[in-house]
Amino acid sequence: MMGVRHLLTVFLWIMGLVGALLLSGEPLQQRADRVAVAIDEVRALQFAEVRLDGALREAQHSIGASYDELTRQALTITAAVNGGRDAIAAIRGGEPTSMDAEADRTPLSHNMGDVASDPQVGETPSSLFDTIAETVEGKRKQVEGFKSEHAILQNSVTYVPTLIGEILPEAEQEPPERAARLDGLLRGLWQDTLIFGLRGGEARGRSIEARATELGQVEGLQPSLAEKIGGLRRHLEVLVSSRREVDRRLEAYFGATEGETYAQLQGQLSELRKNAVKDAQLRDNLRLVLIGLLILLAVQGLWGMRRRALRLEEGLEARTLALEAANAELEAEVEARRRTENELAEALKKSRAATQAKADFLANMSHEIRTPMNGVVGMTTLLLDTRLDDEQMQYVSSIERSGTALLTVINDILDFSKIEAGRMDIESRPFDVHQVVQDVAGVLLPAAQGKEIRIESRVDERVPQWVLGDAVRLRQILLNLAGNAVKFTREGKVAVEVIWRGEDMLEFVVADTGIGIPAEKLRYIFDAFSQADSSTTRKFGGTGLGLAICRRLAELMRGEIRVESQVGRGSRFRVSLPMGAADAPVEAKTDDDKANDRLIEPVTDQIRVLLAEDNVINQRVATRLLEKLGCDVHSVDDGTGAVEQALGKDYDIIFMDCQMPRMDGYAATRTLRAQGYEKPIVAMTANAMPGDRERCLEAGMDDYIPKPIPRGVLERVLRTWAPVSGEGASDEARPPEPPATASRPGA
Amino acid sequence: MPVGARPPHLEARASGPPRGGASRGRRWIAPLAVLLCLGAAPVSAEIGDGARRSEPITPIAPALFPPKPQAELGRRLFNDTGLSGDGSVSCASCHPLAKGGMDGRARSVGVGGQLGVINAPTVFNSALQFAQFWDARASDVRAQVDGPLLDPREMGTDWKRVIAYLESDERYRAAFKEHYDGARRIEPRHVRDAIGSFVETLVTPGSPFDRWLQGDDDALSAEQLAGYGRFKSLGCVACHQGVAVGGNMLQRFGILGDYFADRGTPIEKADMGRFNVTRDEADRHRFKVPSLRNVAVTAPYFHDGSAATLEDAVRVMIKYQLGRRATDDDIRLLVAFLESLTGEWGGQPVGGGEGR
Repeated sequence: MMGVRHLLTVFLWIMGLVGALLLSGEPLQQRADRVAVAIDEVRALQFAEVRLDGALREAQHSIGASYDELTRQALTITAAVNGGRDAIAAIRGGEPTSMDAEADRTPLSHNMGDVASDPQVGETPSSLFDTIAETVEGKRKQVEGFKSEHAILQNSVTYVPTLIGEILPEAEQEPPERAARLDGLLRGLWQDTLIFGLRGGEARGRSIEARATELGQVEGLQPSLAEKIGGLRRHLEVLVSSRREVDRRLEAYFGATEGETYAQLQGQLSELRKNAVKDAQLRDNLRLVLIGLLILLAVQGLWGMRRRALRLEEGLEARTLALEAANAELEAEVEARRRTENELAEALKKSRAATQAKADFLANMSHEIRTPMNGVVGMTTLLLDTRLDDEQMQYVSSIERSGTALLTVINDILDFSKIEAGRMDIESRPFDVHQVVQDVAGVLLPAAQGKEIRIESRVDERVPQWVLGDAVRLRQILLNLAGNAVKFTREGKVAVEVIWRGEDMLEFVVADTGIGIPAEKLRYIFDAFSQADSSTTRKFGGTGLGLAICRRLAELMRGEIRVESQVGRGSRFRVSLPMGAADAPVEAKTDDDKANDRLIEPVTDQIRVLLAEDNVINQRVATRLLEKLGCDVHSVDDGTGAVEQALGKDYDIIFMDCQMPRMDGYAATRTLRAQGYEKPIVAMTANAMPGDRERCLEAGMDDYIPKPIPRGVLERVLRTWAPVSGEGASDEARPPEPPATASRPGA
Repeated sequence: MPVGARPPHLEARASGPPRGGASRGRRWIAPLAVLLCLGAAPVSAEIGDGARRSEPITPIAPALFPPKPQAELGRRLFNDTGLSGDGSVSCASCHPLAKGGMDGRARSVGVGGQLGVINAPTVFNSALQFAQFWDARASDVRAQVDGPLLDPREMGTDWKRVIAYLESDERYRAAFKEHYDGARRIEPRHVRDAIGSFVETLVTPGSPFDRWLQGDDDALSAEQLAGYGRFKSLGCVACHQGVAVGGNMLQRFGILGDYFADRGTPIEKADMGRFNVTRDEADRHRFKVPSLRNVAVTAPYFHDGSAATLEDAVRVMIKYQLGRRATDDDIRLLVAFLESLTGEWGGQPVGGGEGR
């Protein structure tokens, strides 16, 4: 867009400049100068002619003088004329007449050529010069002629008197008549010829001729005289003719005047020069004007460019400012974002902290709650084994029931909190699914028998024995569902079933013939704190967290839980869990293998147990339980003591509480293991947080049991880690498992 | 030459014409007076005053032509036979400087041994003359160069060949380039100018007569001096005057007698003279008056070389040009005078010795 116009402008400007340069008045001025020189040269030619005139006049009146000057002047004129003629011939395209006599060329010839070749000059000056040249050429010819004739005249003029003088005496010798005649003629001739020779005169010339003729007519002369007379006559003839010739030439020479032509030529040349000078000046002025215009244009162009440049600059500035502003904004935004990020990070940190705090709270609470609960339940259990009267037994049973219920509630709450805090880990290890179902059925049996409900358990034959999953949580779910089923069924049956739903899918079904769940409540049944009926709480108790926990656990196990129910007919809970076949766990060793691992020597009947527990009550509980199982228990209340004792004395097994002041169970275990202590250490922990198990194992413990300590667990553990011949097998599960929620069906 | 005073012969009027036939003695007075008047100025010079004499003949000033550097090149060209068609003839062939500037032949020999048509004049002092050639057809010594070069009987060549010959020579090329402003090509005008510049240097000052003119009273013998007087009184000086003792005008050959008829031999083209140039009847048998300088050493004489000796030539001149009877005395004295016109060149009298 700028391209074409710009180019055009530049092109026009260049053309204008070229034109200005060409429009110079210089050539015209030069021509004017040449014309001026030509004028001078014409004047010089005039002067040269004048000099020639003078030389001729002088020669005319002199006898016995040199013709050099006359010749020289004649040559000058000739050269000038030849040069001019050559110049004119050159204009007309003809050949130069003179033979390359460059030395003869005067500046006039060159300039005349220039002038004549000027188209402005035209024909007139050159034709004028032609006239001049012709005249001058004619004059020169006359001069040449004059020289010849003048020399001849000189000769005869001087000789004739001499000759006459010679003849006269001889003529006197002739007869008087003849002598007289001759004498008269001769004297007359003598006079005439002198004058005539010097001044000419036609009359005299004719007179001389007449006399000469007469002389010729005289007859009978002496031969020598006759010869002389003859000679005289010849001279007279020559004299007269040469005189006439000289006169003629002189007349022709001086008669040829081209003064007017000169004047005309000079006038024209002057005019030419004047015009050329004027035109030159005009051209120069035009040129100046044109150059001025071009300069203006250029300036204007440059100014425009400058303006444009300025505008561009302004635009740039504005844009730069805008950019800067935008930049500043961006930076502010970035700043803000960063701040937000920081805040978010802070918030995240805080939330994590909060979560951590919550977890810690949970852990602590878990511990703090379970510990006294352990005491209560433990003591209650012990109490039950003592001799109680019926009233005491009633009371203690009530306490036990309450305690157990409270423990259930606490466990539910803790579990729920754990799940909500995301601290619930789902394990994935091989377990015997058949066994779990059996266990669940076994747990339900007592309660079911009391209510005349049939417990059915069925496992699809396609279901492998060992599957990969979290046995504890599965049991938890099943126990919950089955417990509910039993709770909410007056009569009929509760069935626990495992259906094979593919290679990686199992469906656990807990069906009952209970009261059912109203359809409108079905939706909310898995929500926390919701029960089918508010009256349910009153009637059946419970926290309302059970099903919520089941659902969450199922979800955590990447499965799902569904319910079908009909009021009055019963409910059917389906739990689909992705569980695939697993190889029999390597760890599923027999108790004997385990015993071998630890190289425990079979010892005396009394198992020597070291109990590290800081809580007095729990200590007493544990001690009592262990003693009842035939152990010799020594207690210490912190880790340091445990280490001391363990290293100092010989124990078969150590039960180590994890939370202890000064040195906790983990530290103590580590210390012991570092010291090379290889006897079994079993952790007792009120903590049931994920990672605790690992912590214990890492610390070097072999097993861990929860607090409150379920009765059977102790036995199992003892049997596992400090086997004595033939202790009764419990119907509890064998492999080391995380503490199960001891949810005894509410009684 | 300052011709100041009125011509002496006009003063002769005072003496008046001779009276009657009785006074024989007085009849001699007038012619004598005229003679005296004629010779007044010059004869008075015989007395000798040591001053520069104003005579119809003027001496050769050595610095008539300022020396030009290209004259040396011209000299080489002058002597170069390679310029001619068959390489046998140079300018110097017909104008040998050692022999008086001319070959001493009535007709010269050109290329291929051909005889020329006219008597080659001396090259000496030719630059002093107002034209070149017997018929004055060339205006100067530069224009003259074309004549012999292009004449088929003389050097028988053309400019193309000459230029080619010169261009083929490295030294000529360099010399021409040097003298003619680095001209890319040698041109005829360069050649003419070079040769002409050389010819200009061939002036022969220092003749006895010139020395006499310049004030040396002892330069001329009595005979020569008397001869000069005769030269003037007889009227020879009318045509043979000026610095070149001639060479400044045209004149009929045979004014008071038909030379050509009396010669008897057939009229040739060369005999027509100026007529060949102008075709004007008046110019029939008209020739450039030759210079008498060095005449004593440039025989034979006249355009046809018919006079073998100076005496013969003088006799013919007196008869046909002056229409007078020459006495032996006249001849003798005139010849003596003419001999005094031999100048010097290259430190030697012209015609004798080396001098090239």
